[in-house]
Amino acid sequence: MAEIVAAFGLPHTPSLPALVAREGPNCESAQLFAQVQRDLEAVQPDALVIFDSDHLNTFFLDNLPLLSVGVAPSTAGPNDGTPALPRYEVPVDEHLAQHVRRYGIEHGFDLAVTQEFEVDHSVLVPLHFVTPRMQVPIVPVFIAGIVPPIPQARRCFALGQTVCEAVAKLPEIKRVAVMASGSISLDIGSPLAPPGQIAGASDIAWLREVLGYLERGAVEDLLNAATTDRMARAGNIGGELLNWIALLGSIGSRRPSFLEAQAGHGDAYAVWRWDT
Amino acid sequence: MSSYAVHKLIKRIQRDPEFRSELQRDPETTIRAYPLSEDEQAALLAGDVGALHALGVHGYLLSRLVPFGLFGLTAQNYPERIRSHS
Repeated sequence: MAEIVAAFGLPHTPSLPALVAREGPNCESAQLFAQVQRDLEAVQPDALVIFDSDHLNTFFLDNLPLLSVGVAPSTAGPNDGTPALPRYEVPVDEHLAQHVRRYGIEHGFDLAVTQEFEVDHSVLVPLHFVTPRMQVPIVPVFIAGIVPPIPQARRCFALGQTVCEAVAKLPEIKRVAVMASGSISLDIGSPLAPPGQIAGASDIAWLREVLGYLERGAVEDLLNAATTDRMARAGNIGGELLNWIALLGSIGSRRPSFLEAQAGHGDAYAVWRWDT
Repeated sequence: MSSYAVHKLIKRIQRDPEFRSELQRDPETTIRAYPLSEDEQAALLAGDVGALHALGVHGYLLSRLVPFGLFGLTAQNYPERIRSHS
């Protein structure tokens, strides 16, 4: 049977590939991604489930599923012109993706599907750093956390739990890692962005509060605090927290083995490993 | 989230370099292809992102206009303009 072996929370700031290309492997961002890359390689995953919020690039307002799974042999991108990112082809674990979707539907999640899709920086910036050879097939689970009304935190937590059960029910032996992509407090282009900036962390107090819950494994406290209004006050991209919440659903109340806040950016780098 | 036509127009701006050139040349005629309300049209041509945000346009998509320098928007004036109606 398959099992979830580790989890990772990562930012996907589109400027990071260019910044690291410019500043080299010793800069802070490069070092943080390298740390996560080492942990990811150490757990030798056969597949990587990614909870991700597309930025109206894979989906658009003509057809916007709240929760969906990418089920295809492969995907590619970035489809949004991220600076300094090469074009990548990324294998998808189509069998696992289909299984997760089917199991989810059988257990109360009306998961939409896309069978032909490309992905934007929110998938490829983290992968560019932690699986640069794109050797680990992914299962993209899209949570529409950026366009209101966004899904509820408890619903996304339950989705993570259901993904965990689905993995456990897979008959094959498979090591599955989980990734949450995104910020905890971020505004891009609305009046909540920091003064004088187009984008930035708008609510550092919220970031610290959330990181406190993560650090303590205080899942119930986080779910109580993460109301839709509270996430909205953390910026128009604050709903990316739902990806982290889905991740927590898939691993339970474990505490991270590594957690590094980037308060000024409104995000964090996190690893959950329980094999050491 | 109303303002679907504005969202759709910004999506095309992101993807279609020829459309961007047309917008640079003649913004008034070019945006007529989209069924914008009078308020949306006026705000867009004035680069009044604060008004567009107040009308329901997503800030993330509005911010995508800045790199193309359309409608007089710059990284310098955007932060002030987006707050103009809040």
